[in-house]
Amino acid sequence: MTTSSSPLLAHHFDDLDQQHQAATAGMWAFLATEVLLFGGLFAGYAVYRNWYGDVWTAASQKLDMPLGAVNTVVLLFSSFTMVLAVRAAEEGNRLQLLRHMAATILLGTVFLAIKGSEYAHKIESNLMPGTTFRWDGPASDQGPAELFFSYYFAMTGTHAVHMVIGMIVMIVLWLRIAFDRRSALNPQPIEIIGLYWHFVDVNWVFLFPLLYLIDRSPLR
Amino acid sequence: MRHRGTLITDAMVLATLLLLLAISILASRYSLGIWSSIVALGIAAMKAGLIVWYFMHLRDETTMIRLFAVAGLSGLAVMLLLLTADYRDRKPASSADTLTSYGTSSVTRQVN
Repeated sequence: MTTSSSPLLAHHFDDLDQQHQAATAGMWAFLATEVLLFGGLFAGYAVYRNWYGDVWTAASQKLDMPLGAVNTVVLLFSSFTMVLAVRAAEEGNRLQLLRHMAATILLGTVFLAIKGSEYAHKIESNLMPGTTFRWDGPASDQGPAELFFSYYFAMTGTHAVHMVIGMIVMIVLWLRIAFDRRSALNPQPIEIIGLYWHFVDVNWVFLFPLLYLIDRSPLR
Repeated sequence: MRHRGTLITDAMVLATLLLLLAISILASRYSLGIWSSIVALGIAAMKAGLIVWYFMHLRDETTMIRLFAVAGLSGLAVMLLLLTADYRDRKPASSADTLTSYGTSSVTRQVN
């Protein structure tokens, strides 16, 4: 696989292995910047969770944990179908590749639909930060409670935007592979978008416990 | 690029991820004080590690790629450390005075 005569080899690389290394390192470098982007939100979360722990625990109860858990399962499965897609791409199995990519996109859509319904419910319950926000509690808790929901919408919203971007890229790749048989021969784009998609999943793996699972003990 | 690991391996990783999710939900039902956070983040870190090692194929990559992968987290760790050092010595804003909600409430709003 390290031949220097493969049609997949761009002219400025010595061999396929070097080409793969370059692409992979590039994507990981980008993911590093993404870690810092979300890291900023996590850092702010850490401070305010520490300062307003009680109110934040109460605010977290308002989130639909079962729905959040379902969404986590959906994303974990979408990562699995992405793994299958990458396998298919590397084996040159075009139909399997299209199938698994479609499954990944579909699962992503399910996630966004569930998220959308959660958001709609929050807005209806006057828990959207802004002029309509109303927290059931003493006046001193209003600010911290609104802060929790600001972080909820900011963190899950940024995550959702990242998902949409990933899905758009996947749809474009899917169409290209579906209508241009030759593009199915190059597994690299699939590997790269796979890395991005798994990162989005890792992100949610942290978001879910931090936002939904602060304290779910039955006595509350 | 051919990757090591069979389909069975990937399926087992998925099963482990789902199991860890179940454990984290179960653990959240117990009030363990600071340990609740430690357990939750610990499980999340394990899940992240599994995804990065197996699904993102870090298992098959060179040291250079692994360093790239770790770079982001390392940078973040440094930032969080510095942030902690700073915020340890700050007091939280005393709620009603400086952290005003923009929403309406049945109680009269505090004015800054």
